[in-house]
Amino acid sequence: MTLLSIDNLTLTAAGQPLVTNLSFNLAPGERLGLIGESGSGKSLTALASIGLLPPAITATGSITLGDTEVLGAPERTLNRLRGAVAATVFQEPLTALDPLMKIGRQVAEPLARRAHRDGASIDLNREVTALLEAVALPDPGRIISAYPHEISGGQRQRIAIAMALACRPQLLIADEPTTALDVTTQADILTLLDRLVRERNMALLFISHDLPVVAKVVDRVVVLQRGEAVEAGAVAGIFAAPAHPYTQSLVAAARRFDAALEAAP
Amino acid sequence: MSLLRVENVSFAYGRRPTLTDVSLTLDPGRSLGLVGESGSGKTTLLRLILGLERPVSGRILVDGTPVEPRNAAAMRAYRRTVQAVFQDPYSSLDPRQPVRRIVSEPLRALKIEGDHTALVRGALSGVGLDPDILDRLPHEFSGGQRQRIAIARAIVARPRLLLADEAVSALDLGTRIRIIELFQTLATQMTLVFVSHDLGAVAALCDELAILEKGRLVEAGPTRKILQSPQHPYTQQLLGSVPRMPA
Repeated sequence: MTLLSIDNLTLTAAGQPLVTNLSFNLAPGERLGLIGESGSGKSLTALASIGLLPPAITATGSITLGDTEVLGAPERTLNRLRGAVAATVFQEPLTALDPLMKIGRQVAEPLARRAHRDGASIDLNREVTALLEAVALPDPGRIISAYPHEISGGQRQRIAIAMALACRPQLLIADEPTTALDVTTQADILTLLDRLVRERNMALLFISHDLPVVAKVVDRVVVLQRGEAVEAGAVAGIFAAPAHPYTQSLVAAARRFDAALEAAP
Repeated sequence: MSLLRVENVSFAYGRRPTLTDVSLTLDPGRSLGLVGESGSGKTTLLRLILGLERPVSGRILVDGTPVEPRNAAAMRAYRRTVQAVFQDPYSSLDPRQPVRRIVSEPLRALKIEGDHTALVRGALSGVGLDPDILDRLPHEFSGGQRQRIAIARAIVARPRLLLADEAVSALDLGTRIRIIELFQTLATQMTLVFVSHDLGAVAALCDELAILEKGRLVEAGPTRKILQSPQHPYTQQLLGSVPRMPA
């Protein structure tokens, strides 16, 4: 059984191919990393998976999320998938949050949507607090009544994660979720993501240009170069013995920074 | 004698202190990595060294002369000594100016005599670019190439001190390595202060490290020594947080 199946996906804009013949599968509970540099098509692939491609981009092939074909699906169908089947966390939490709305109300919105979907009645205040506690935010009472600019970048990313979790998705798509964060905050957020994905039995599609970051949270990777998958397989195997010259160059570069930090005497 | 001497420098934006009693020195020909997270004051310190801001207390000396932003004549002379490269190679180059005008700008501003075309061609070669790109526009180049153009502009007037503020942070991994290699080459010709949150890049490039936390200098010394046995808990935390490749 697969949760997300991308089959022969090609994305073009103004006749230019941006992603070419990309195929991969993600089973429930599985963790996959999409690795590539800027312009490799990794973020577009993530957007395509939840039906959020910009109108100027044409897609061919097939993307199945849950048991629904995403490409060409009407907005109503896509809306049912978003949140419930797949939810997304992006690089910059500031752009994901409404600057004029208090945190508590923003987090309550997807919770209310879920309750509506399930026909359940819930205690919103209690659920918001529980969700903020789940993402290990200190002092939820204060944060609920704060505006996004009043909390730190790391706290904002925790809020974005909390909102993604609100609809209990089966798949979490994280697009460079720690790239804008300081290194110590990044370490905390990676630990949090790792724990939440495990505890909630979610699948994870983790998109990043940063190899050691990817290695911390996924089991399998697909390496993209200019929209084409050049290599795919288990993280351990690929990072230990990359077969494609492009992967080799990425791994060699990452290891050089590691070696510099080791400062061998 | 030290080329750069920061003496008990404090700075505040309004009432909020951004730097508190920072002191450090850098000998000519050495490269210094200023490392810290957001809010550490590293960019503020760089702006003070550039003379874009004035310390609230303390002073900065370059080549034995105090940096004095209010003394216009002294600052003009100072610009021959110090140049800077910034993070974003897309916003730091005027899109309407050809490479020739961009790179020769310091030569005109500093009224440097001589054959500007030859100096610009020399600077372009020095950063690994084809000197024949003189009449091309910035949009024709990749991010890494643009950063090389920005570096060519910074070195064309042969400064003694080159300041780089997150100059490789916006670049892809492969490009980042190549620009760090370029800085390594330049560091043999001039003194370099390299501001970055990226410990790996700084470790690969700099002879010395200064770690800032919330405006205070918590640790400074030779890079190798600090990496091998970081003394301050914050330095230890920073080093421990850098994700590494699996063994």
